Amino acid sequence: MASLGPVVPMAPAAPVAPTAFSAQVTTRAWSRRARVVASLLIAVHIAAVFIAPFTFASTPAPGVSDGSPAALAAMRWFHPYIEAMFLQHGYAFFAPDPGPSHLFRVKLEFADGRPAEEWRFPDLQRHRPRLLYHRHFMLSERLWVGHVPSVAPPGLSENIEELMQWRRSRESYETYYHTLRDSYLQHLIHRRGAAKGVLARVEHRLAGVDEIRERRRRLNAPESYAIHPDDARLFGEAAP
Amino acid sequence: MTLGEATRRSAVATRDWLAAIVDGWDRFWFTAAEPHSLAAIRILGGAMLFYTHLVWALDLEAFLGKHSWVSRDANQLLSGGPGGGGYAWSYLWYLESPAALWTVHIAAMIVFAALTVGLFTRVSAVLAWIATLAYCHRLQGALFGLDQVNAMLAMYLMVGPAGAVYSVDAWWRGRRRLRPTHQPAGAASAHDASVRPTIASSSVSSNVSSSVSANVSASVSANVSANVAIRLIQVHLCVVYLFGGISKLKGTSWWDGSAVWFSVANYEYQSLDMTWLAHWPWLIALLSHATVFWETFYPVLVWPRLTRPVMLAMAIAVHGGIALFLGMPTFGLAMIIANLAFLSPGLVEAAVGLVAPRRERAG
Repeated sequence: MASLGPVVPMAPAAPVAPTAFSAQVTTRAWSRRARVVASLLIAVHIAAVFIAPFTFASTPAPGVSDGSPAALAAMRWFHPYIEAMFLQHGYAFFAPDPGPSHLFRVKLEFADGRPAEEWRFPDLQRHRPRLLYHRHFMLSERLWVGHVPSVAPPGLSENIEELMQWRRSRESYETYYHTLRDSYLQHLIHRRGAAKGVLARVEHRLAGVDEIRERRRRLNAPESYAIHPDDARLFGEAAP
Repeated sequence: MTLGEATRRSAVATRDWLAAIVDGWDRFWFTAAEPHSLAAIRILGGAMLFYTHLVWALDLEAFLGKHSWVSRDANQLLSGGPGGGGYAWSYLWYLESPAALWTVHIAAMIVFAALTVGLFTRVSAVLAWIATLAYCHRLQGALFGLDQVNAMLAMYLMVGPAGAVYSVDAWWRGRRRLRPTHQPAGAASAHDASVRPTIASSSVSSNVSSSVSANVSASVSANVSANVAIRLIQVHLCVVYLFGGISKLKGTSWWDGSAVWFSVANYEYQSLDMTWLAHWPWLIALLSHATVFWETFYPVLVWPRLTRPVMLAMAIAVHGGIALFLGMPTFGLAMIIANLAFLSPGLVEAAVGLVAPRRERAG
């Protein structure tokens, strides 16, 4: 009877004489040399699979510190393989906490007299099927990866080393963000035939249980969307 | 007991312990296994790869063209994170013209279709992995968990004989072998010399001549590489769940029980309105805690026969929930497909038999 057992265990396959039932399954064992070579390859690969999320998990929030020296040392060794094999993942789905959504707002202006266009990405109505919508959602989320606020956290200025660490992380994020933002804008300007455009990051605050149960707030209430303080001036809004 | 005797006994115990480790490793990785689970993963995983790339085709030039969302320079910055090492190579970087892009994209779609139906599977599996990696490396910025699972399955499908059953290859092989041969009975090939008895079900009609029967025997082989491929998926999946669980333990909402609420109350993710859960806070908390415990202990509890069904049932519930309520049907399904690695080949064969009865059974 079929069972939920592990992969069918079979003794290391010594050749067995054909029988009346031999029509179904054959098996061949690997030589000792093949098993040693395969074991080494498997061990290296499994180590790489493990080290990538381990490094991710042992690295605190951007701007705080570099992370575990042991994890970083292992990552240095395995980095080429991990990157080449697309293994550089943290697997931190909805972790450490499910957070707000990150979107972006775009305004495009045209030189040919067309009125300015303003869009928000992603857009459930425009991006279909759902997977295509999710691709656009990930593009907007990506603008916030490694986000370091423009103002240092309170108390950081008392420790010069931590302040320098924070400043490096901030500069790194700024470079990253500007590269991506410019790429998105260039794409949209080219696609729509616009003359110029601006892009602003938008955060969609999550509603608590009480807001829904007691105050009957809608999940997409306009007041729950906030433009990033650094980008507010682009849309003529006052920074909070 | 003298010191010398104690030392000798310790040495023997240590040697036995090390031998047991080596033996356990050997049995875990290098025991032959039947390819049915791997073939089921090939069909479903291949179909997911096909669909994933079909959706890229809906706006191909926006994602891969000269003026794509993520330009080549921005992509290289993203490949390894800020300061990436440049090891994430993709042939798609060198293609900008629409004609070239569409040509390689259609070629990739053909490869994924071939993998799904099991056509030239050994070759199509390798090509599918190369194409999957190329798209993942080029499309940094628009990726999410689905692509991680796609790449994982594509990588391991090429390790084992994923097309040995439930494939065009197997069907074609069977047809060729069912042609009457003049080979004398007992003159089986060297490959057939290691035939061993296993499950009683057979894909061979009982009235086929014995020489034909001997030839067909090679079509379903318990193969070490099938086991290696399945084991790699299993271990990789355990790493995914382990870190999925550990990373949740760093948050507060998974401890205070509000995490599931903040997942389903995310307007951009949600595909079904689940705000009615606001009136059931204990249920939200229960689901949050169950998710963390299940994910964290999956790497341990999925191995014993006693707890495996519970772990897999939870996997279907959690990933099914993600698919239905959190707007990620593809990711949810891909994770369920990966979990098929923990089903025994016999169970997969029995399940497939129920859905698609064999010809002789129907006859």
